[in-house]
Amino acid sequence: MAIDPHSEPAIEEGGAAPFPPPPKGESGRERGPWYLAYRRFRRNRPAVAFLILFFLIVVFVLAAPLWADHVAHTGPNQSHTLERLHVGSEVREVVTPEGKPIGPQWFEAGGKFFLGADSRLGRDEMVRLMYGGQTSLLVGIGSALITTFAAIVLGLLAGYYRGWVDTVIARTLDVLWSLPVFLIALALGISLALGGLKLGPIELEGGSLWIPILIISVFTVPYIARPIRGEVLTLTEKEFVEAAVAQGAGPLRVMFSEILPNLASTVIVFFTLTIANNMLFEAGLSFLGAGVQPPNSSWGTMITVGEELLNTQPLLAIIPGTMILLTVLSLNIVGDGLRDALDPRAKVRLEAHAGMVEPKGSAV
Amino acid sequence: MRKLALAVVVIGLAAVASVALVACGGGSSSESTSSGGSTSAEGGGKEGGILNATYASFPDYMDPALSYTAEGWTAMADTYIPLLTYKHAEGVEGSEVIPGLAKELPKISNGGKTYTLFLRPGLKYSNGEPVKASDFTFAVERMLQLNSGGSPFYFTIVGAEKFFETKKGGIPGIKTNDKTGEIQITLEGPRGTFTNELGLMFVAPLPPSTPIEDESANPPPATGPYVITKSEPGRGWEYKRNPYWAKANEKAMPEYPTGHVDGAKITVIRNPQTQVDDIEQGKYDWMQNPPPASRYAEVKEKFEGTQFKILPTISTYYFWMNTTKPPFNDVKVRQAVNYAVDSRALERVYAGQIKGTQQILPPGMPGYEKLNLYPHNLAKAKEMIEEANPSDMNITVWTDTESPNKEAGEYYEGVLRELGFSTTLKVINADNYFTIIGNLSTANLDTGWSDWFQDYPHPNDFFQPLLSGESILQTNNGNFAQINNPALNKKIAELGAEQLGPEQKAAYAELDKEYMEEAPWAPYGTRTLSTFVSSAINLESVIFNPTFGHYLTSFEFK
Repeated sequence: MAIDPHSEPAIEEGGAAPFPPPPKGESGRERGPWYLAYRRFRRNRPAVAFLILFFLIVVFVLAAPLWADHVAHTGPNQSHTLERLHVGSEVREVVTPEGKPIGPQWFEAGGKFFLGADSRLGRDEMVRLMYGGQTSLLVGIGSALITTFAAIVLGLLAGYYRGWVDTVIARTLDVLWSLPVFLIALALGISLALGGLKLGPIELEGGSLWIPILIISVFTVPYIARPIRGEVLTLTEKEFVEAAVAQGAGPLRVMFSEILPNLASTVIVFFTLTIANNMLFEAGLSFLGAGVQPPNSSWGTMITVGEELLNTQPLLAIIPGTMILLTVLSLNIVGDGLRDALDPRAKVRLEAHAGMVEPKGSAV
Repeated sequence: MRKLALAVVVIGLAAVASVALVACGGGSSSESTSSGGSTSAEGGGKEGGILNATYASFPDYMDPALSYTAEGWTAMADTYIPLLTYKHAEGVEGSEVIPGLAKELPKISNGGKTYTLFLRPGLKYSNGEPVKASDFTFAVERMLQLNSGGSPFYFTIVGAEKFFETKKGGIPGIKTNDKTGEIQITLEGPRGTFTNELGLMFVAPLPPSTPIEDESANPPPATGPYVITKSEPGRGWEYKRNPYWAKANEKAMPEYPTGHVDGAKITVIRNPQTQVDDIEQGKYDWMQNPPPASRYAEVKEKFEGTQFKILPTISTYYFWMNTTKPPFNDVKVRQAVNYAVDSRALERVYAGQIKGTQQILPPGMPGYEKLNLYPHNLAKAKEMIEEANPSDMNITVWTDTESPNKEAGEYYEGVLRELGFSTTLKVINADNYFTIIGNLSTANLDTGWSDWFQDYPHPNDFFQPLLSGESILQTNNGNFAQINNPALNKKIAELGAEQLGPEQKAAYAELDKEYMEEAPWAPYGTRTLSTFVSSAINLESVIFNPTFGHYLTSFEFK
């Protein structure tokens, strides 16, 4: 960002000025910490590039109905086992009598079977990829939202009240953390997929997407709640909390008006990384049959189908796998970039090594 | 800049690592784990060795009184010998009934109502206990007390049905004499298939100390050449030579094969890709289930004649529809489904391993006459559903996890959705599938996949257990459509009492048509199975019996 050479105190080579005044923009207004973070993020080229990639992926999966209706003319679960494609003078079978599905057609058949057929059931792989992406992203983002919300609540309660509330919450989280999370989620996923879930007023059918979302949310909570609890414990020691209490603020007000805003940057970073983690979790569960149930597709279930045909049509496993890779990679790099942009201490260290000049203490 | 470089390096490493892993995984060592045995026998094969084999699922029960699946019968065929048995041969020859633990085929008298047999003397179980005539009565009672799925076959024995219902009072229709070894069975009326049914494992004699409960984890002592020494449901089991076979039973039953291998170790490997890879690499010697559709063409091309053999079967693959509640209680809806299901598509789903049919009896079964009642017509099917306007459009479709039955279930669900139904697909573990859909208290049993392989070459075997109203059981049910048509039930019972001649075959063909007009099922094909062994096994010696599958006694190392 621009540093007004006339207003800044003189800075020697290799050193940094102690506690300079906040920088001024062109209009002379003071810039808040969010704007500074945004500027820092923007400077991080890889993070911006991957953020754009992530949005492109989201647009890609949201365009599923458009592609299905106008280009492929089929739904994601429709079988075309006996269909034949007429490409020029050639007649190609979508599934051969020996059971081999057709390979990628690109635009030769007018966009139908762009990436080929997905299995002996002759479904359009491209359409399934897009709808599957919707499911994967929905499960990933949905469960990340629930996890983050639960983690904030638990972290705030544990960190603010301390005492027995903290003990109960922290120890429960410890127990959850110590369990082999994936194995239990697998077992739960398989058993609930059959019978559905009936807990008092909540009734979920076996094939409902809520089941993998809830399972993944529950088991990811400890990973987010503990760091948040740690931060809250630190924050409650600070003077501004003491001041708020002295002014007569009740616990809820202190938690939501004083502490929560200071958690914002941590929460944002964790949220992004949790989406990535949960998408991988869902892919793993679905691959093993414990997550999304057929005939719905998610990228994980598509890898299951592709694995069977690895010897004859390897693309069927590689394509969904690559989508998962790109999405998770983008989210991780964006998450890292966000952390660098929002966390001042880390940034200062980086700045010092790079020899760049940046006013300290300008962010939170 | 550094972040981007790091990302690129990570992706590059991951790509290299995955390529390396794939390359390594393909060529692991192909040492055969089967231990060598004694010097070669006259037949050209080697005697001895331990057979290492895999099944894709654990049998429904490892208990002769209860098991009613191909996996279970293959697993126990050479362990539990009933009074009569089937010839250890393939095809039509393998459907011939011959004496087992009994000296000769039964003497039938009293207008077909009395069967008299004599137990061979000197027979022993694998724990040393002598086999007595009264053990047969015990085995029949135990089977009925356990509510076995095979029970309906034996209801014609005087007192058997009452015993099944009350579990008290014994079976007056069976009289035995342990001193002479005589077994006399009296039936309520003549039954043309009873000789065949005496050859099924449901009524194989067992020691009277055998607990009256499912003994899958601790199988009862054996009378055959091999005894099951260890059984871990869901994981695997082991066989060793029955010590009392060589000492006692072999001499009493000289025509029964003794077996070449010294024992076998069976592992359940649920991933059929892995099973095929393991056979190709020689890690395992035999896989009981056929190669999955995705590898079928490859295995056939590479190994036919040397390690792979295609076997025709007498079987029907079908989708059952629950006729007791909407929407399938309306015959028009069921007929519409038959118009909608296209067996040609399913032939491809099975990669050519099924041949399309659309009736109860399969080709090769006496009484089969080809029907074409419902030529494929999706538009007509949709019309019929609209006209019928069923009250319940929410249905649950059941299938099991074993490919390609799983894909067949998915295909079927797709067809039902096109017809306008709102469907939920339930894919059940193959180990438990038939137990679950055979339990009438399971919720939402609307429609689903099933198959049936002949127990013996008589059409009654398809009609009575699967389509007679009198065969509907609360648990271990086989009549999944729960069809109960009194006129048709009567016909089944009448024809079942007669011996099979040209008149009866024509009557069965007519019965086939009448049932297909009722359309409790949407049948779609008959299956070819296969034998796939590693290079260490002599392919020619392996015998596949139409009822019992691959005999353990027929495997030998080269």
